[in-house]
Amino acid sequence: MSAQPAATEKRQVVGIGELCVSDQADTVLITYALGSCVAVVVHDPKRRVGGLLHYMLPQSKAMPEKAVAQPGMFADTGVPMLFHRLYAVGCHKRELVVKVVGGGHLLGAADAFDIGHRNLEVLDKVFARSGVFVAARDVGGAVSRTVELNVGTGRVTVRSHRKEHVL
Amino acid sequence: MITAEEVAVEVDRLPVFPASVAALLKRLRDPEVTARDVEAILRPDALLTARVLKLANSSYYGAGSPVATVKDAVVRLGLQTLFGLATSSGLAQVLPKRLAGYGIDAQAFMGHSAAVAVFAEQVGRRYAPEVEKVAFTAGLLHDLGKLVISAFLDRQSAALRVKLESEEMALLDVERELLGTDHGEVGARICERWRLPQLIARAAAFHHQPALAPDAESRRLCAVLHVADALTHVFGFSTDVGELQRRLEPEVVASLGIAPGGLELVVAESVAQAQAMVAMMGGELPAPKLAVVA
Repeated sequence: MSAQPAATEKRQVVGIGELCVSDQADTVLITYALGSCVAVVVHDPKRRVGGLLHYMLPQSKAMPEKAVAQPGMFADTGVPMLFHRLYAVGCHKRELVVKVVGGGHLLGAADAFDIGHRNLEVLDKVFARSGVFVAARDVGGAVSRTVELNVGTGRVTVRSHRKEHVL
Repeated sequence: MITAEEVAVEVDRLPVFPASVAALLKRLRDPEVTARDVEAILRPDALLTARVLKLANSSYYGAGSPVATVKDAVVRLGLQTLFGLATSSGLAQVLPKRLAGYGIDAQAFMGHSAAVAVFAEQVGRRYAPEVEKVAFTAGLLHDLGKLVISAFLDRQSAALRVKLESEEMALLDVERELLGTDHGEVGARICERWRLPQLIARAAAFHHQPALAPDAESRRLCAVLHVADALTHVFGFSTDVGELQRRLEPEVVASLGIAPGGLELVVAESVAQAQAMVAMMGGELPAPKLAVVA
């Protein structure tokens, strides 16, 4: 098992389809069992600000009312919202360290029905269009991941049933 | 490897599913069944009736004056909902505390079952309306075989781990290779023992291989369950061994006429509803307790 968090550490759980931005250096943002969902994990080392989005689906086009109710559900609405929240607390795009985790799939899932694959594909397009550089990724495979971001240090830890590592 | 006799012994040793629920499920496909019938079937079972009424009055179904009788609950929530609530109440009475072979407890089992029920109902509504009404109840009972397989799997946990981790086999194939049977086949034995309808037994038996189901109706139902089960696994409604190491059969998806993108609509409709259903039915999908291997 992984080490227990230090007593002073605050753990903030980010649910499926949700996002969270924090400027509390003693906070760890954590999201569980990503499956085919994707976590976009962002850190500003200068301001010690962190953000985490756990989105479920690539595009909101066919379900605009869902995107209004819960923008974090989709890549195309959740990612812009995450970055705007970070800009609102003074972050600048070029200073942000962006990491991507998740997008897993079942064995034999065909591309057209592989939501994890589509989730990553659309994210790449969103990032390409807005000039966001991804520093590291741990994606794909028949693996469900849990990820945490230490807001103070920027350390991103990914756990799956096979291993734990720092991304 | 385990023998059919060993399986039979363990199936016999399971607690008996409440007879009232088994009797109710016999009417699952009966178009003539009334609220009065449901009440008459459940009335002798006070414990179960109390559980059902508690669920029927939960916040999941919104505020409003509380329902005091099963008949009122049927009128308010509909027959199919009552079948589902009775089934989940019955299941809660027979679940063992822990399913060691799968690394989960009763709450996680209930949570996954409740989530599959919700997703199955949504997949059915959109792609196989002729089985929509039974999909929820069949979803609740689809993994019954795990109640018996778990202990056998636990005895071979080292081999199980190797096969899942280094050989990347699907969990169902690992069960078959280690035990000579799988949770689908054993689930059907349990349904027979509990005198549940044949359709439910076949749904349990073939939800991983719908093409093998012996009649058109159960093939459709199994296809719906197969897709629903797959979606719950990739959206975090399952924390058991093997996680995503299950197959999604593309031809099953195609057989339901699901176009690319179609599943995304189902997911958007189902996730929040499934979370609420899991909570209502007393399920809990804990943060995965991840053994760090490397």
